[in-house]
Amino acid sequence: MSEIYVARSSTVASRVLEGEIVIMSATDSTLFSLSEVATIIWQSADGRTPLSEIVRSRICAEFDVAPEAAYRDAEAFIDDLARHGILRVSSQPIEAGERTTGIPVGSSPARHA
Amino acid sequence: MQERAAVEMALAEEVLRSYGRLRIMARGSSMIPTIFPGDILFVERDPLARLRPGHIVLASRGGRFFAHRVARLTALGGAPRVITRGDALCAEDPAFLHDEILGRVTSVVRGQKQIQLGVQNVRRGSRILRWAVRHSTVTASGVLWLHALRSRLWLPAPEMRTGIRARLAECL
Amino acid sequence: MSAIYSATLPESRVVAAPPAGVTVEIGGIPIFLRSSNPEFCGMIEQRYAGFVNPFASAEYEFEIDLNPPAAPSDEDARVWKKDNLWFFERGDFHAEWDSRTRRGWVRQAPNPYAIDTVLRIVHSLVLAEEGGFLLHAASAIRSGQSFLFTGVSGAGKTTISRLAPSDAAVLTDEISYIRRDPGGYRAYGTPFAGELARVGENLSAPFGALYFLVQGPVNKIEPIDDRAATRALLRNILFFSHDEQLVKRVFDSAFEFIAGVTTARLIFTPDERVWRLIG
Repeated sequence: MSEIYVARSSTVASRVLEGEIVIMSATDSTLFSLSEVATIIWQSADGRTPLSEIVRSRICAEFDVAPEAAYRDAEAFIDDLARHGILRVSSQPIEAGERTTGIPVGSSPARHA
Repeated sequence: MQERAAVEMALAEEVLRSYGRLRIMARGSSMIPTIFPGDILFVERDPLARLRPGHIVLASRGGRFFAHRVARLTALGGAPRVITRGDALCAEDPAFLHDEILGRVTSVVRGQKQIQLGVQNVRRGSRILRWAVRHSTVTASGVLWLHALRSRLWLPAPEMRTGIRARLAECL
Repeated sequence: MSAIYSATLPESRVVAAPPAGVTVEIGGIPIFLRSSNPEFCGMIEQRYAGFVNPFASAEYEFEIDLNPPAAPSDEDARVWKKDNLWFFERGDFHAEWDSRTRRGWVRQAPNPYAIDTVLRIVHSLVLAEEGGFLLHAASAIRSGQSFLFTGVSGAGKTTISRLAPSDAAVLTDEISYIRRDPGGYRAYGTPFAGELARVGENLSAPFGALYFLVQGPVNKIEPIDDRAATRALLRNILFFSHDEQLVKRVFDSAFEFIAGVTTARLIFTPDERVWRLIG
């Protein structure tokens, strides 16, 4: 299985609200409120640590979850964030300078719930 | 929750100021028939010098967003100010100062349609409707009712997803 | 007395008061009208509502001196130049303007008529430098383009403006504003009112076509040759000065304009079906 690397995008705005991280994507203005697990992934997304390592050492170690299930959930989660321009995902380590995801022109209506 | 709303507003303002573009959902009926509750507004950070009466701007005051139309610009007796008014309202808003204007609403998305805001807004037809909405509660209610009817034909709202909260902007 | 006794409250800030006056922006050219008289400024803001832009940095400036030189007058303003200094004069105002520093002053009574004429003169001088002009014409924007309708008094400018459908934005029924930029020609709305007595819309659009109005029994577009078009255009350009250099510039501009845009004769009856031919 090939590794996945994740890095926090710089085209976001974020605040901490009562211990929770609230993030808004500058790409499409969607808002994300990160749960505890999501926060760990976000904070660990330094572009150098593979996702499998983040899941193993920081999530499975802290929470009582099976590694495969935890990894599948993490993949789905980063996929979601990546689609909204909040995380950069790559099969190679990500340098600090490559963090912008750009703002698409004429994108589809923001999904909101 | 007050704090939550304040944080969401602060994020929206930061995104608009730092990255130049924002999407927010309109609530309230002060801008019908131009903007209806539930419409998504595309806001761009435009240089203030390009503002004109007729443009719709996003402004922030007292912890709320307002997306109203510029009635006039003035510098009488002090700092330059922007005077706005909701299309459905009769009274002008208290003036906004330079740094309270966050950007310009350039288009509105309603269901599947994207409506560019620009010259077409000076159409006489829409002006007459706006006048009628301002001066008659019957017209205003009728317009809202028609809109509610039509919006049932659009796609249903996406279901709530864990980890993601609703984007709600307060418009007067 | 020592500085520590000065009465500045800690919260107060020294805020530079913005200069008293009104910036009127027409054709994308902001002109700052400086006056310390609040009633006069209020009247100017009202008169030019829609064209007032306090956020624009003005390239041109006029100081208004509210001391009328003489009696009100209906005559045409006289405009002449000495070295780099322009002089504008009529019974009810006197103005001087340095085209290099872009600064001038006006001595006039506290009413809008004098400043209105001064603005028209200044704009026509500035436009002339660029290859544009003010024209006795009605203009409207439709389908993202501007259309002009020119003709002498009574030719039908106000009529065709009144007949405009709801998807056409009428810019003016009397004084049209043509500006030239590297991309081509563009028509702008102005606040200079005609018979419709309505301040124009502060909009602009790339140039579409110029129609020479002729009232007739049908609605029809007919071709017009460049020479006739240029002659008719020159008859309708607003120009105030006999300065040789500038007059030549306006002539050249008129020729270049006709060569570069679509023109036609518009024969029309006073009914709204004529607008089916436009845009």
